[in-house]
Order: sequence, then C-alpha cells, then structure tokens
Amino acid sequence: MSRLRLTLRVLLALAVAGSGCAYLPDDPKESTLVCRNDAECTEGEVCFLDGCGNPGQFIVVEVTANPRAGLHAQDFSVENLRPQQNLELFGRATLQGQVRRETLLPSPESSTIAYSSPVSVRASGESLLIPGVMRRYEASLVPDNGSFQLSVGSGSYTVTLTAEDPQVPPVSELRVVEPGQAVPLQFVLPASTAVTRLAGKVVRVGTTLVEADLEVQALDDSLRPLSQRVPVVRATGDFLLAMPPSAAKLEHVLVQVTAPRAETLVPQKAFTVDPRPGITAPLELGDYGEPVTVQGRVVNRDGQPVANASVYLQGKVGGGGQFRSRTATTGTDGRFELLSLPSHPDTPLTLYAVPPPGTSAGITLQPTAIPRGGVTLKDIVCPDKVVAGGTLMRPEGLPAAGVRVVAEPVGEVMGWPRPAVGTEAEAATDEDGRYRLRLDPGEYRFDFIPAENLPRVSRFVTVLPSTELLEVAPFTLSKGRRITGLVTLPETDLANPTPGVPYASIRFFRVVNVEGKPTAVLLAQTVADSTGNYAATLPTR
Amino acid sequence: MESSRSPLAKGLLVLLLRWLGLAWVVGVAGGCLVPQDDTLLEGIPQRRNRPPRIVESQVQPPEPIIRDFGAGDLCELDFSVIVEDPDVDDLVTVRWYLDYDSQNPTGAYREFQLANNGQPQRGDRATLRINLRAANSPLSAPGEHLVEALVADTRLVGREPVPLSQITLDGGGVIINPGYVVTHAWFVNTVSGECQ
Repeated sequence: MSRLRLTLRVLLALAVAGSGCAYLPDDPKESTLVCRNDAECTEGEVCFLDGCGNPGQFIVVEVTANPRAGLHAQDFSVENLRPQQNLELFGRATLQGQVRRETLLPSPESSTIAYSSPVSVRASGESLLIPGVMRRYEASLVPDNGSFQLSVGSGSYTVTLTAEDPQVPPVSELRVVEPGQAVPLQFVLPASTAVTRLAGKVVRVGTTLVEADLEVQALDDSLRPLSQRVPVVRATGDFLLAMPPSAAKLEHVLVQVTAPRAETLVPQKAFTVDPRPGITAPLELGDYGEPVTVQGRVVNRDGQPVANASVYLQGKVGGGGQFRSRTATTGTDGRFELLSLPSHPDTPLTLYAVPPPGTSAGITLQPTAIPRGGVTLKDIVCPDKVVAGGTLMRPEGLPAAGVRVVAEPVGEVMGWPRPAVGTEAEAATDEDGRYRLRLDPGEYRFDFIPAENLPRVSRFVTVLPSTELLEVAPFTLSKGRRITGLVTLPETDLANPTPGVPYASIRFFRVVNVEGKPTAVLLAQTVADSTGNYAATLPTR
Repeated sequence: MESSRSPLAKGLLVLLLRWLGLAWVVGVAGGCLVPQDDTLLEGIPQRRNRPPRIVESQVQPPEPIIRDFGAGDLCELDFSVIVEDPDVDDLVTVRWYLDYDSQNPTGAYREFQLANNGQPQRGDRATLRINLRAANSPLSAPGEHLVEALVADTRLVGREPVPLSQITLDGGGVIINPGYVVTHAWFVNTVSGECQ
C-alpha cells in the first residue's frame, strides 16, 4: 500500500516537473502583441501586457503554506483554470545535507569525518516556473554528526555553506528542488593542511597602516567568494585568507578590501593577486587623502530649496579605490553638509541628489571634483520628475474612477541609477479615469488596483529622462472571474482540526515571453482563511 | 332600601367591571402599565474596534536576522507582511520604517494601504523591495539596520495610534474606542560588496 502511494507520488511529481519544463511557450504566436482592451482580442481572449491571450492559459500558481513551519513556496502550472480550483500541495521540500571534512591522515575506512561545528547554510536562487521570483533561505545550525536539514521552496539554488571557523573556506553546490522533494547534498570541507592560505598585509602607503577596521575576502573571476570575509588586524595590517585547494592552481584571485562600518572613511579596493607565490608586497590602498567637508544646497528648477533630499558622493578616489560617502539629508533651506574623501585627481566623484518621492524635483547626478581642502558647491539643480499619466476605462467602456496606481521600479535606463522606491499616485483615478504620477527615469511596473471586485492589472512602462510628460496608452480593465478552492496538504496536521491549510499565501502569475524574455506578471494574490479556503479574482472576458 | 337600578343596568355594570378587571390584569401582565425605561437608542451601538494582526507564519523573510546582505549576488531583499483584521471594513495601512530612531524621529520610508477584499484576511500585501544597486538605497551603508513594518487600523500620529472615536456618557464618563498598531521587525547586516 505504502509502496503504491509512494509510486503515485513520484509519478505526480514527475508529471508536475514535466509540465513545468515544457511550460514556457516560445512565442504567443496567434496573439496580437499590442492591445488596449479586451475588445481588440478575439473571443474569449483578454488583453494582457504581452498582448491578447487566453486567460485560462499560462497560469502558474505559487502557494506558500507556512514558512515558519518550513512549508515554503511551491509552484504549479495550471493547464485549465477552473472556477473551483483546489490546490493540493506536496509536503515539505528539504535539502538533506551532509557536511564532512577531509582528515589529515586518510583512514582505511574513510578519508572524511563528520563535521559538527557551527555553520551557516544559504540557498539562493529562483523559482523554476515563475521567472524573476527570487527565493532565499538560510539557517545557522550545528550539524548533528554531520547531518542537517534545510527547508526550502521549489526552485533552482546555489547552496553555500560557511563554517563559523574563518579558516574553513566556503563551499557551494547547485541543486534543483521540486515541490515536496528531499534533495541530498554533500559538502566536503578540505582538511586544514590542504587549504590554500593567502597571508598578506593591508597598508595605506608604504608602511603607514590604515587607522580603521577593515575586512578582506578572496573572490574568483566571477566574483564568487573563495574565502570567508576575515578581519584585518588593525595593529599590524595583517590578514590570513583560507581558500579551497583548487585556488592554488588559479593564475590570479581578487582580494577585496572593504570597511565593515559606514562611518569609516576608507575606500573599497580590489587587488589582483597570484596565489601561487602568495602576496609578496603589502596591499596599498594608496593616498586617498583626509576626510573633507562638502557643503552645498539642493534646489529645484525654479531655484527653490528642496528639503529632505538625500545627497551622497560616490566614485574613484586617490589610490584608485572606490568610495561612497554617508548620505546627508538637506534641511528646509535645501542645505547639506557631508564628509567625503577628495576625488581622484583625474576623475571627479559623482554627486547624487535624490529628492523625496512626493516632490516635483527629480534625481540628479553630477560630476563633482572634491579638492583636498574641502569645498562649498554651487547650487545643485534638480530637474523636474517626469509626469506620467494616462486613462483607465472600465470593462463596459466608462472611465474607471477610484483605481489605485502604484509604480514599482524594476530596472534602470541608460545613464541613470535604478530608482530605489516605488511611488503611488497621490490620488486614485479621477472621474475621467485619469491618473498621474511623478517619476524619476527608470523602468517601472505600473500596478492598477481597482477598489471593487475587478482584477488587478499591470503594465511595464519605461520613463526616459528626455521627456517631461509621458502619456501612457489608455487601456481598459478586464472583467473579473472569481476562483475559489481549498488548499490542502498530503498529510493532515494533528494540531489543525480542519483539512485545509490556514493562512496559505496564494499568488497567480501569467508567465509568457515578452520581447523574447520569459516574464511573469502577477494576476492576483490572496490568502486562505483559517479553514484553508481561498477566493481570488482573475481576468476574464 | 332597595336599589333603584334596573337588573339590566346592574348586569351592564358587572360586565363593565369584569372587562375593566380583565383589561387591568392583561395590562399589568403585558407591561403596559408598568413604567418603561425612557432611554431611547439613537442608533445601533458602535462596535468596539478589534486589532489587526500580522500573520506571523507568512512573514517574509521568515528569519528575523539577515546576515551578509550585499555579499555575493544577494543584492535584493523583499520584506513582506500579510495582515488579518476581523473588522473587514477597517482601513489597514502598513508603514515601513528603516533605522527608526526615537530620538531623531523621521517619517515612514514607505506606506501601503491594503486593499479591502471584504474578508478578514487581506489578499493584498505590503511588500518592501530593497535593492542595493538602486540610487540612495536605504540599507546600502555597511553595518546593522533595523527594518520595521507597522500595521495600523487607524490614523497614526508619529507611530502612535489615534483612537477611532470616543463616546461621552451622561454621567461624564468617556468610553474610548481604540485604534491599534502591531509591528514586526528584522535586523539586517549589510556588507560592502559588488552590489553598489
């Protein structure tokens, strides 16, 4: 009986995995890529951001039962979404880890022994079925006779184990985890004698030490860590890095020197080092000068002061290191004062002035030379933010009033930094269905959230700095259809008298290719009630 | 002395007295003649507000301490809370505070209104995405940071909830219908790396 059940589960898991692998369509061939409303689509189709499409197709649902109990996200593709869509989950997905360490003297039975000292394990990766949905799980633990277990969601992960002992190099493995799967994982830590050690010294110039706490870490060409991040002995500048044995064969590694605290006015610098002979000369941060005071005033295009703007300097300083100052905030008079290192003689620093979201002034970047004696800058003039607006219609063609509009940054445009924070329109759409947002240049996802029982809609919008007014093409909200169901687990929880999974988080995505890139758009999100029943509203014709 | 009333009048009088007696009994028994409480309700009494709660099992990230933010490819973090409020019509807001200092209080970094779906469990959720590659990313400075989500079902003054209403009783007493705030916090350790 149990064997039959196990076989069925394996078959079910394979079916889910198979459907996931074969899931992404190459191209929405018969769909129109540009549409403004459902009426432009053929019967039964809905106008999505990638064009017209069948609202019941290309749906992937993510269910997160109870992360606190180790029941993390599980993804399922839904071939044909029904009004009553029960969600039958798999059990907990886990990484079943073994940590062993090579012994100094190989014994006849085994060349490794169980490692049972404190470690931290981090799995970071992405959902297998929902592109762009990143997942990360970590735990600090002490392996039990070398064994540990880490609950994770379904996804593809890089799993990194870092021992508390800084003289043990970190080790990584790649793993794919399907829902409910227990994935074995073995880490073998090198014996202490086999570790490639890299000893060195960090100085400012010549024999002058850096009067600050510093840390160093060895990285490979892909910027993956080869060693742990270890402190530099402040009194001597000495450090000792432990890398895997294979690092001894590398032609070069990067040794990155950083400051662990924000108040330390020391640049960050990476050195290319040949690990075979080891570090022969001290690592010099160079003559980066002494901290100087930078003062200035941030104003808008009309010359009025911009209060509560964040200002900082970033870039190359003397000695070739990279520096970023702490952030200062302007007062009501628009003035600020911050401490910085002088800029590199050949390259000015970049000054960032970031006005608060609610103001009409936008972000500005300007090259700024900081001399060794400090400077009071000329007024820093912020351009106006780009005003993005548009019109939203109801499914029956009338203007859609009272719809909340939120712009979430998803990327940057050439020459501009990525905006840090999303912006919500000051007011919901008016009686004409109009909305307006002030935005810095960047790539955004506009989320339209109707107050009534209509499905949310998203559109991607690129805001370029060259425009002052951006009129987003008008479009029409879709009608909604209600999906209900029960979320269940294969094994009932004795502590929970109901068959459902209480408070499970459920998100419905539409996954398609947009401009050749797999893209997931959130269609609906909901939470199961205390009995595991859920209801969500998705687009329909 | 003989009565001058006729037997018919006597009969009518007895009948009348019987009816009056019966009416009195019925009236007393039915409460018509018992003095009534003259307090009139002007409306349905206001229901006392009930607090929202953060669904602890669904807090993201689940671990309260996040180490090495900025190391390797860990350049982006999503903080998220799901909220349940038995008062389904309450306006529930989530404010995100970063490195809040009560000695030098600043406003919330971001505020969300959770859409009302007519259910105690709000399907909408407040997600704060922090990307270290963004301009002026608030957690970019290396060191320790505090990230807090404040969920309120009322207006906040600073971080303090304002009562929804108060009722002054006839005797001068005051009943306060409170508003509530619940919080969840994470500690984040940012390290310098390749994210910036």
